[in-house]
Formats: sequence, structure tokens, C-alpha cells
Amino acid sequence: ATDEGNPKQNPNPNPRAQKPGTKNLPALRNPFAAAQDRTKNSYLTMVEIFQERDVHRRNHVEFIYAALKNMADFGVERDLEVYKALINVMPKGKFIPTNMFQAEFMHYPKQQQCIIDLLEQMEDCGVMPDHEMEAMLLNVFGRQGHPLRKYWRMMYWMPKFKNLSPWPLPDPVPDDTLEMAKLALERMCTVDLRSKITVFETSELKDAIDDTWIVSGMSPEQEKLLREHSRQKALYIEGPFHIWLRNRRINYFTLRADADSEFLSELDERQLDEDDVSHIEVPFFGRAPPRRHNQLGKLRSVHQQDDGTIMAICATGTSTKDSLLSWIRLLEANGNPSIGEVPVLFRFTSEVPAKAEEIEGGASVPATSDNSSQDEHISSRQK
Amino acid sequence: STKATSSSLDSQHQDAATTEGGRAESVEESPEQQRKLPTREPLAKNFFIGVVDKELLAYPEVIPRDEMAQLENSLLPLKNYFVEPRETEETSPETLRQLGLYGLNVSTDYEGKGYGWSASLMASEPDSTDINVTLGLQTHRVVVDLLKEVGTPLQQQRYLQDLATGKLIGTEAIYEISPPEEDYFNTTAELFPEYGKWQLNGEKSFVICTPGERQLFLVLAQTQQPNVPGVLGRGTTIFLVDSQQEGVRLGEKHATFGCRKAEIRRVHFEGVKLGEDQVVGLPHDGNRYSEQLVRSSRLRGSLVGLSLAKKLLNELAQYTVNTTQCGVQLQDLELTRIHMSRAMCSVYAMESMLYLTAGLLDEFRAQDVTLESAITKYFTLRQVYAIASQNLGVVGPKSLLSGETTELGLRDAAQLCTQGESLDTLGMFIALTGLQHAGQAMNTGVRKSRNPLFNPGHIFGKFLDNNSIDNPKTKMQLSEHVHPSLEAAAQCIELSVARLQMAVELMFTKHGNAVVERQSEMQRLAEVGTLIYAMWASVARASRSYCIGLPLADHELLTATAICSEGRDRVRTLCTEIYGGHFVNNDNNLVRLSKQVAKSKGYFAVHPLTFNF
Repeated sequence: ATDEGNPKQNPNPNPRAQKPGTKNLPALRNPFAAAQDRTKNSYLTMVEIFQERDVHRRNHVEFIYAALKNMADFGVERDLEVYKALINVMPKGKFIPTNMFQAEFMHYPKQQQCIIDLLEQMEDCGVMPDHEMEAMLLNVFGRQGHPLRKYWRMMYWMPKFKNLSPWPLPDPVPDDTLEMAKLALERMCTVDLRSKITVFETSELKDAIDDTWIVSGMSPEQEKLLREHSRQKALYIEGPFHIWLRNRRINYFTLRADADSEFLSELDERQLDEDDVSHIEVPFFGRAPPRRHNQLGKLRSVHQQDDGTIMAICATGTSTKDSLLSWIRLLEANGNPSIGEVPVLFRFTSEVPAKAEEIEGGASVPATSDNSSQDEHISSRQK
Repeated sequence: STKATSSSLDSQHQDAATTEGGRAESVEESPEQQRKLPTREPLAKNFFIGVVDKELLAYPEVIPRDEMAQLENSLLPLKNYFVEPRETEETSPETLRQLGLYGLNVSTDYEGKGYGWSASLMASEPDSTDINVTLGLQTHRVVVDLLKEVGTPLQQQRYLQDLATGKLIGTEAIYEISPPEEDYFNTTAELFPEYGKWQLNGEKSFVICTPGERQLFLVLAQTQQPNVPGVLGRGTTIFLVDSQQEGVRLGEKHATFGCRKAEIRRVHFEGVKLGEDQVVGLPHDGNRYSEQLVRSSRLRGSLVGLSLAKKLLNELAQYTVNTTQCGVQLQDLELTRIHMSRAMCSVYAMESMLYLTAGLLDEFRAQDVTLESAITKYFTLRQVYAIASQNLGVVGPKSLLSGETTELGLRDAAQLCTQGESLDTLGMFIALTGLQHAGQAMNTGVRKSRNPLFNPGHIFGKFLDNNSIDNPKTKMQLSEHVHPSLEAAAQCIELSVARLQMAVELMFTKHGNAVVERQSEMQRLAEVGTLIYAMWASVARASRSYCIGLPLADHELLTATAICSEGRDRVRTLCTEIYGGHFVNNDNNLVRLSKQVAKSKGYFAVHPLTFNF
């Protein structure tokens, strides 16, 4: 269900080729490009080696730029400790302005800009600095330093943004695709608070070809809509659609019916006369209080959209037709018997393999979607 | 009747009285009904359109002098029985039969006592002091009331005599523990036209039973009209089910919080076969008869609350007089005194409302007291619970030890509040009933106000109108109909009625018929309506008492004055809140907050000591 959506940076970066504007920089051996063992430890070791190499720490700005660029390769771009180690490369006290003019005209501009860029990269990666970093920056640039201003602005905004998402994800997001699929479905199912996420195993069915999992999200409201759905009208399995969880993409499918236009037009608010207050109903025996829109006891649910009624959503381990077929059968076996009496059609926006072997074989998996939707009949009674 | 302000009333409302009368004539009237005075316009409903019926400030004297003396005499043995300590704790149905408590409101034709509403309420006062006994008796009387009103002559002949003598004990079986998502009730009945029989299935909860006796259950069941499919054909039907019929089974007793000695049980109905003559009123049309049903049960339920409140107040007074702390008598502390007086005012208002409502029913033909009875119950239950919980503070930690009177009082008060309809739904009912009535009367004006560009003249008139919620202009001159000492109190009522009418009009103008969704505002409206009726009833009663010189009438005046000035201020606060709208009165914040509470499925804030970085 997921693709690794994080385009890794060039695995063998060459700083000179990447940055044409920095021609004038002195030639410098880039230890990061040559490193064999790309872990946080080796990264920190290289920083340490640089610091101990000579007492002048020559070319430390270039070193920091190179180090910043290679962070993603070492998988440390979200690690506060590493950023602190890089700031620690700067000499202490040397860059602190001593008079008003120095302070105003950006004392040691190259060094200051370098640390501002470092802070910028932290912000882009969502790494929040801490108070120790403030102390380090104070020691390097003093209270008037531009990096400090950047730091203070970051500390104003970043905490406010940090928890702003209504659907917080664990940090780091889990690697397991099943867990990711569950998170994605839970996020989408928040439209209806009564939704339940169920994890099925296709091995529960005896004639399923793929052996995989299916994460299915459905609410009692949707079960009711499905029960009341006309047996003559088809249901569609549509997809694959994408949802992004941080940097990972999850494919999911929906079970959809065409919108019940008759029902929706009954609810059309334009037909109601809001100004008429002469027919107010009074309920007896603790019944639901009346609403103006459901004079016949009808209420539009959130699943009944203008372009269709969503009955359920799912993500499967293999995203194949076979696994989707298994999903329908599992829904039927788990409290939705009516689905067996309704024709179910596939309608895909991109080509979907029939079963798991095809993916493994790599024979006919087109990488791009051609946007031509294709309808394909499956008979759900064939079991 | 007098208009409060010169506002959007139209001719529909003027016709209301005549249609009421017309409806009453179409029903076949008993001679008892014909003796009554012609129907008046509904009192409390009219408050919502700013109209008052000043004649009704004369507290009704429905029981003639000679009958009153007789009634008081016949109540003596009852009072003695319930006041004096008894050898056995339990009161058996046999004793109640001997005391004649089952037949109070059955007419003399069927060997009952033939009391009207007021008299039967008065006669059930002695038994209402014992809450566990009275619950069963009141529900019995409610069944009798309903049979008297909507039962066919056949049903009356068949049941009323047995009900009067107590051979058959009536009881309502309406509420269920878990009502279904879509329908009214889980209990369903189906008609088999070929046999002309109904089949009833389901179970009812919170039924007050008398095990070992023959009972008559009044069951509300969900039914489907045969020719109308779907939602439109759904309805409720009221059935009379004899406990001796096949398929009726008493279930387990509920372990209730209060009223623990009353037999509150589950009742199961499994394939009970019912004849068509066991349907009360028309099938599928139970909602229409529910009005009579709830009116009666609200009134009789209020009496139970009233007795409990009186008992609590008496006990509190006893306690404060007899207790001395640190050399100070509790009764001398100002806080205790204020608390006691508040309780006194509440009880006084409850009692006045109850007997005013019953009096209206007795005095006028087919009088509409739907709203009055609902208000009476709403006020009574809220106040009895308030008194019961306030008492805890006065008595202190020992008040909740098991077996203390304060503990029992709190339990019973809580039980009364939750039994049957909840107070919130009752509040909604009051507001909706008022709005329904007001909507019919104000429709034209509201339509004009909501379409200002089409009705410039109407809007211009509104601009010129300098009536404000703080300072409404009234010309009802209620004080002319009460004793001059109550002039200030009458003025309070006038202002409150005018404010209520303005609030209702504003709500209609603002929301149109979506007003039914503004539950928070409606809850305020319900409280306003309730307070006004309480003030009205208290002033009417105090005025009568003072004019004819009843004992302690001067203190009644004081009580009524206190009720009115407190009520006026509360009404003013509530109406100002309604006027302010949901941004000013904080409703908007609360509604927004609730969304997150629902999303987070409860408390959403993290721990106060959490770090973010």
C-alpha cells in the first residue's frame, strides 16, 4: 500500500558540481562524500576530527555547509544533537561585536549567514532548537548576532506550529506499512466519529489468492446506508487514491455508490421556507428534538456527498484486485450481508494488478496512471 | 385579555379562542364538562406572545364550601393513617383499598369518589407523604384519568369499576432502558386483520408494579400503519394490557437510586394477543393522546415532588431550630435563614402552580393546560432537587450517612428528577410548546421582519419603537386585579411577560423556523416561561389569601413579593442573554468547544506540566 515517497538526495554528492556559484572556494576534501559507514556516529566522528585537526579550524564555514548538505545521506537531518555539534565548530567569543557599528553591519557576515542557513535547514526539517542552542549561539555571536534573532523567531513560531495538526502522527512515523495504513485510515475516518477500523487477514477466506492484510474503515452509519442501498444499483470500488503521511504515500480504495439524487433533492434547503414559523412540532416522550431539515425524520449523513455515497474505505497490503475482492467478501461476512446481493464494479484510475505475483514478477506494473478509468465487473456471488 | 406591547400579533391569534371552543364542542361532553365555564385562552402559552388573561389572577375556588368541608372530613382518616407511626413498614394494597385511595378520581357511577382534579390532588396529599406508596397510586390515577378522557364507554365500563375498587391496579409502562436509534420504542405491536387481534412484543422498564395484584398496564408501542410504508406510516398506539393475559411477565426489580421500597420493575410482553377494544383512542395515533397522558402524569408527579419538598423544608426548619453550634443557634445565622426562605418560596410557588393548574382544568371546559402542567413539573422537580442538595450543606458531613433523612431526601429527589422524562427534555417541551403557539400568532410579523426590504413600512415602525429589553413598556395594569400590597409584584410579572414576548420575537426574527435547533436559547426560554407562571400563581394565591384573611396571609404577601422580585431579575438576565445572541452570551464558545470534546472523545487538554521543547 505504500511507496517510498522520499526522493533520496544524490547518493554521491559532489559539492563543486552542485553549487556552481561557489567556484572561488578553496579546494577542500569532502570527508562526507567519501565516508563508507553512513551513520550518525560516523558523522559525529567526522565533525570531531575536523575540530581536533588544527587549532585554527580553517575553512570551518565550508565544512559546515558540506556537512549540512550531506545530512540526509546519514539520516541525521532531524537530529538536534548533530546541529548542535555543527554550531560547536564555530569559535567562541571571536565573532561577538564590540561596538554599535559592528553590530549593525553584520559582524563576520559569512559566518553569521552560515549559521542562519543551518537554522533555516532545521526549520525546514521541523527540528525545534532548545535552550542549550541559545546559549551556544550567544557564546559565538553575542546578543546582537543575527543568528540569535533567527533563533528567537524560530522559538516563537515553531512551538506554535508543532502541535497544530489535528491528526498528530507519531514521531518518527512507523516503518511498518500495516501500521501506516491504519494511521491513514484512522485519519480519514475522523469525518465520522463512530467509524471503526478493522484489520482483516485474507487468510480468513479460503479462496483468496493473495495472503495479505486489509485495513477497512466503516461506521455504523455507513453500514446502515449500505443496508438501505437499492439491490439494483451497483457499488463501485474506486482507487487507488493517495494519502500522504509525512513523507510516505498510502494507496487506498473506496467503496462508493452513486449519489441518491432523489434523497438529496428532498433535503434541498431552497425548498424550505425558513420564514414560516407557524408549524413548529413538539415531540413527546423525550424524543429527539425537531430539526428544521428533517421534517420527515431524514437527515443527511456526512457520507452522502453530492458526487456519491461513500460506504467504506480500505487499504490492502498488496493493492491488487484479488485483495479488494477479498475485502468485499470480508465485509459481507462481517455484518453486511446485503453487499452480496448488489453488483460490485471495479473502477480504477490507474492500472491495478490482479494478484500479488504480478507485482513480484514486475511484468506489467505501469508506473504512471493513464487516467483512463476502466470498469470491470466482478460478481460477488461467485464464491 | 390584554396585549403586552403593540407588536406582531395578527388575527390568527384572535381566532384561537373560538377554535378552541369549536374543538371542545365536537367532542361529546359529559354533563360534568357542561357545568364548567366556557374555555378561556391558554394562560401560559399566551405569555409567549405577551398576552395575559387578567381574570385568571383570581385564584380559582373550584371546590364549593360545603364540599370542601366534606372533603376535609373524609381526609382525616387518611391523614391519621399516614402521619401516625404504623406497626408494619409496608403498606399493603389491601390497606390502600380500605382507605379508598384507588378510586379518588373515578366517577361515582363506577363506585369511585368522583373527585375532580383539584379535589383528587388534595385527597392524595396524605398518601404522597410516603413516596414509595404514592408512586404506585399516582400512576394508577393517571391511567384512570386517561381512561376517563379518551376511553370508549365500553372500556370505561369494563375497567373503571375494578380500578376504582382497587381490584385492578393501573400503571403506565412507557419508558424503555435503551430506546432504538430510529423509532420511538422497541416495543412493537402488529395487527392481524384476519383475526382482528394485535400482537404485542417487547419489554418496558421503570414500571411501578404491585406484585401479586392484578394490574392494568398502559403500554405505548410502536406500530406501522398497514397501507403506508416507511417512516410516514410509523406511529405509536396506546394499549391496555391486563397482567393476567398470556405472555405478560414481571421482570426483575431495578436497583434504583431513590424510592427504593417502590417496586420499580421491568415488564416483558411476549406475543401478547390484544383485542381491538384494548386500544386507547385511535391506533397509530398515540402521540395525540399522549398530550392528555403527560398532562395528567405531570400534574400528579408534581404533587409527589411538592410533598417531598415540604417534608425536606420541615425537617430543615426542625434541625436549624434544635441545633446550636458554638453557642449560636443555626436558625440565627443569616445564611441558613436565606436558604430556608428560598426553600419556602419554592415550595409556595410549587403549591400555587399545582392548584392553579388543577383549578383551571376544573373550572373551564376543555381548558388547555399542557404548558401549565409541564411548567409545574419542571419547576417542582428542579426546586426539590435544589432544596435537597442545599440541605446537605446546612446539615454538614453527617447528612449523607446512610439512613439520614437528608440522604433519603436527596435520593428520592434525584429519582423523581430522572424518572420518566428528563428535565432537559421537559424544558425543551416547554419552550417548543410556547414557540409553537407564538409562531402561529406571530407568523405574519415575523415574515415581514425577516424580509425587511419587501416591508419597509414594518421595519420603519420597528425603528421608531423605543421599547428596550431593559425597560419594556407595558400597559397590562395587572395590579388592578390584585391586592394593592402586591402592586410591585404585579409590576414584576408585567415586565417579565413583556421581556419574554420580546425575546420570543427576536428569536423568531433571528432564526426563522430554525429556532427549534437553538436548544440553549430554548432552555432559557423555558426557564423564563416557568418563572413567569410561578410568579403569576404565587401572586394570585397570596392576593386571595390576604383578601379573605387566611392565617399568616401577610407572610404569604412577603413570599409572593420575594418570588416576584427574584423572578424578575432572573427573567431579565435570561432575556438579556437571549437578546445578546450567541456571541455575547458565551454560547458560541461553548458550542465550538464541544466539537473538540466530541472529537477527542472527552477531555482534550494535556497535562498542565507538559513541555513542548
